[in-house]
Amino acid sequence: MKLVWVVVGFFLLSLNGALSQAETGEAAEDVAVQFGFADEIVADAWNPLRVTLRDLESAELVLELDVGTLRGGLRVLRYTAPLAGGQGLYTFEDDIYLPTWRTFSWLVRTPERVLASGTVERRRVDNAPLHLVLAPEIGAGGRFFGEAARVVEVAAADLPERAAAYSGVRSVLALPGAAPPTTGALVSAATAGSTVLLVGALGGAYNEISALVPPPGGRLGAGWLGRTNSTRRAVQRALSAHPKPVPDTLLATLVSEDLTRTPEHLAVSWLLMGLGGYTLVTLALLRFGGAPGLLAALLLAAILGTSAARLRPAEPLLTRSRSLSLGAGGLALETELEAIFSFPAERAKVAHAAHPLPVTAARAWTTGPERFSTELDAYESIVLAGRPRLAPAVFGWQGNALLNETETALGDVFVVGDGRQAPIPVGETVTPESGNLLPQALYAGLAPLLPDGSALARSGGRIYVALPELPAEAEP
Amino acid sequence: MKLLTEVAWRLRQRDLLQALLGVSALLLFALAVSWPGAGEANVSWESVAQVRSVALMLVAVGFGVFSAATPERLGTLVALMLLVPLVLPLEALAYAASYPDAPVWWFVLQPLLDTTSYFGLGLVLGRATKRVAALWPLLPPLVFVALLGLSVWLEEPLFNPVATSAQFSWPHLGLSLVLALATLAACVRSRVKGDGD
Repeated sequence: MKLVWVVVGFFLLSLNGALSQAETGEAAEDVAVQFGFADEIVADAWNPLRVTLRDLESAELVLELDVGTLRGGLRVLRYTAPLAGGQGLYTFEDDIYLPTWRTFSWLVRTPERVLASGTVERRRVDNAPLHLVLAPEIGAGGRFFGEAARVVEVAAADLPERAAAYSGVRSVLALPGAAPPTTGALVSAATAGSTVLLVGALGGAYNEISALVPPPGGRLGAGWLGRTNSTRRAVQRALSAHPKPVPDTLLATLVSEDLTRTPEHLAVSWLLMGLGGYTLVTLALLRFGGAPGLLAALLLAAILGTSAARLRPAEPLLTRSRSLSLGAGGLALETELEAIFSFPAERAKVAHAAHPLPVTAARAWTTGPERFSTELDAYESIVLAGRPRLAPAVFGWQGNALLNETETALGDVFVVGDGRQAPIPVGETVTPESGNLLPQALYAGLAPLLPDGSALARSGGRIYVALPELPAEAEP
Repeated sequence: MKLLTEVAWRLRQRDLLQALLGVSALLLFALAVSWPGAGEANVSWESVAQVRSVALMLVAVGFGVFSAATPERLGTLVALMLLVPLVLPLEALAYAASYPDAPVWWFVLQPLLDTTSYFGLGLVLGRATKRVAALWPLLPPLVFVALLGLSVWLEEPLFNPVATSAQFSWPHLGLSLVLALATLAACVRSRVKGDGD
């Protein structure tokens, strides 16, 4: 009898699976999901994500990646995002950090059914950065790069106006004859650290960007935006002159002990001496004090008990943050670093997109457009790197002087090549002089990764880097 | 004799001072062995709370059993209840550092209610075994084993003094509240009536 039920159950399950597949097949035409630029994903970087629904009700996008290793075991990244849907075309865009994965599956679903689903194969893991080319014809961009380069030809409409989307992009080339992208997209790419090159004579469509960065070009945020002629040599020269800073590598140098330090415990010997003394006093008060002694003992217990219980932290999670701002040309790429320490076993949540730094620091995490959460054990800490974003540069070079446009005085000023400098008051400019060439301890890992002439300064947990304008001969 | 004077007199007696010293020594020992080293998670309160819970249970049942035949039940009960706040500072630091789920009022109220209700249980057992008083010293550990056995049999930690010490539980709170109020009412009634037997 049991066997009959098993067979019937199996049949029903198979039937259900077949029906689901049929539904997915029908609906998939109205759902388009794209990871990266033209489906080229850069592993261990933020990648753009685009979902398009046509005439479909609200749904949910779910991504599930196993980002573990053979030695480290399973590590699960789960990303969910609501898709509003509705009549006509609906597009959802976001940027998601994609670590190197072992398995990568996604689905778009409603509570009733799966609209579309798929997987991204393991062999597509590649952390080589992309070269994006806006070309008038297919294959026109290949001649500027070597065979090993990951060249992706994109349409102007494919370039988002979000700095994080260009995290894995090494360069953006705009060739004559191609439909021009928005100024915001090029500025975002440059600020994110990419080298944006306007190749050859592009015409009036680029006047706005030319006004922002006059020819031949200049630093913008963490990257470069400039013009070059249409030879392969000129493009290669421009790329080699402007290496892309990797925010995660720079951020990792800022993960210092004061950020991740575990709160210290009281030494057990002091604890026992103190509490032993309290016990003796209590016994003495009770034995020799009578009723007043009893009241005094109770008062002492109340004072000590309340004081000790008040040492319990107000929040279960202790968050220390630090941010890094890489700026030049009036714009900066800002990235937030948060170290979260948990007193009890607790779920750590932040209200923005982030990823663990390094990703092996978390066993599993859930993320979405504006959230991140992971389980922490008691007395466990995790460091999170936020999504990089574009911001105005409030610390930078003005000619040969450093200008502080923040709302506080900047301390720990250090110029790579010139050494330590005096603090810079609010709104003032200071011309660097030769000082102690040994960087402050906080910059010990960061300063060697920055080009000569970079200035570093700090206000609380915010670290500002003003990248130098390049000397004329280094410009392409 | 006013209650305060009676309680103070009771607390200066050797038996209660020894009980206080014994519970304090056990708590200090539990702290010493469970306090973490540098960088380790501090989960010391769980151990300390379990030791406190079992120690106070044994003391409360023991005093309850022996008080069944004496006229000083209320004084002894209040003195025992005062032992709870007197030993709380010994675990307050562990509570603060361990950041347990249990709220602070549970940390204060639960031992108070448990001590009172275990004293009541001791009174009942003392009366029931009045003719075999030689067994009285064995009753506290027997009660402890019986409560553990009952919890295992019921598959419910409701009566388990170890499991309920650091874990907040509404059923346990309700039960111990009812038993504590009944014990307190019985002791007050006995004092008002001058019933000493």
